[in-house]
Amino acid sequence: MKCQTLEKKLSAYQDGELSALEKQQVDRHLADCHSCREQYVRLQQMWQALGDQTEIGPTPGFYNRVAQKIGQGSEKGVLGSRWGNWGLRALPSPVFASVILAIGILCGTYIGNSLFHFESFHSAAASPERGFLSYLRVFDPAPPGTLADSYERLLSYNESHTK
Amino acid sequence: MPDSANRDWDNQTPSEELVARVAEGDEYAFQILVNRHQTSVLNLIYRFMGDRLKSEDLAQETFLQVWRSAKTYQRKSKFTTWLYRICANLCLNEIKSARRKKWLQFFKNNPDSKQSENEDLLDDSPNPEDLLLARERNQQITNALQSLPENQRIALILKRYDNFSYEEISRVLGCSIAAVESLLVRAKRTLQKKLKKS
Repeated sequence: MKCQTLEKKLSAYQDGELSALEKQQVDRHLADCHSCREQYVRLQQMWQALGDQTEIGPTPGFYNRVAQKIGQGSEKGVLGSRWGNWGLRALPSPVFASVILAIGILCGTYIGNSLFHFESFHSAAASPERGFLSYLRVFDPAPPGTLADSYERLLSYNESHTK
Repeated sequence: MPDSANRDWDNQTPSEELVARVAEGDEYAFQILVNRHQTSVLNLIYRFMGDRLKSEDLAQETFLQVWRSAKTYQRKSKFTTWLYRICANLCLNEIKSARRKKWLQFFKNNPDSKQSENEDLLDDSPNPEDLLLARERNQQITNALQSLPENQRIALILKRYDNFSYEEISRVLGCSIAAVESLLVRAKRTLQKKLKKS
């Protein structure tokens, strides 16, 4: 085993995570190679040094505080404790997306209708039959009041003005 | 049940069985679980975060999660692996939200005092000189651990202080065993440099 290979294996060797064969190879290399042995000693020293860190203990009444939080959680509900005022964030995204889509459609319809309301009102008043039939235009490729209809009207408006 | 029999039951019942009881709403089983694992959870978080107050809060939050999600625990895995995964996720989330807060407070000159973190740790040390040295050493190790990237830090803490196997660490972190090995190699290399300097 080369020193470079051993360097990579040294950590797993220290942690006792090598296979029996690999461990044997490392053992043999360490017995022969002074610099790798030193490197392993340094690694062990660092590992030991980490043990100097003091262990802390929980403050008295730890369990009671957890129990208290559980009590509060069940009163408030998960939404209340986690998201606070951002309750909407906890809504599942498909629901949220559907709501936004529905609002968009409603707004679009309202804006479309209010833009062309005047014209359709007059045409319906001029001929009630035509007005009734105009409702069938919802099956058109560009039904009145939609974005496609507006676009078509814009095009025809442009064309008539350029002529 | 007499007191001694009670205590025997407390000590002998495996944590895996206790969680099953917690899932049914058994508060006594939950209390035993908390008492049994509070110190290890607290120390894992403390070593990760380096802040005692925050660690206590997160340790409480960890057990809160245990209570809430006891029903999702699958007995195939070791309880501590499951517990530490909850703990690791909370720590990582805390770090993320701390980063976000730091961004928000970028223009506010409000440095958090880190002075109080380790003040109450070494009450029983025999003389002031030892106390000072131990405190200094403690701070050096805390700083060195804090300098590691999050995944390396968790892997190292689980290996060094909780003696987890690579396989267990890989389950906690949700990565491969080879990745754990690599995380630990890099973490140890960095720590060797940091602790050598100090």
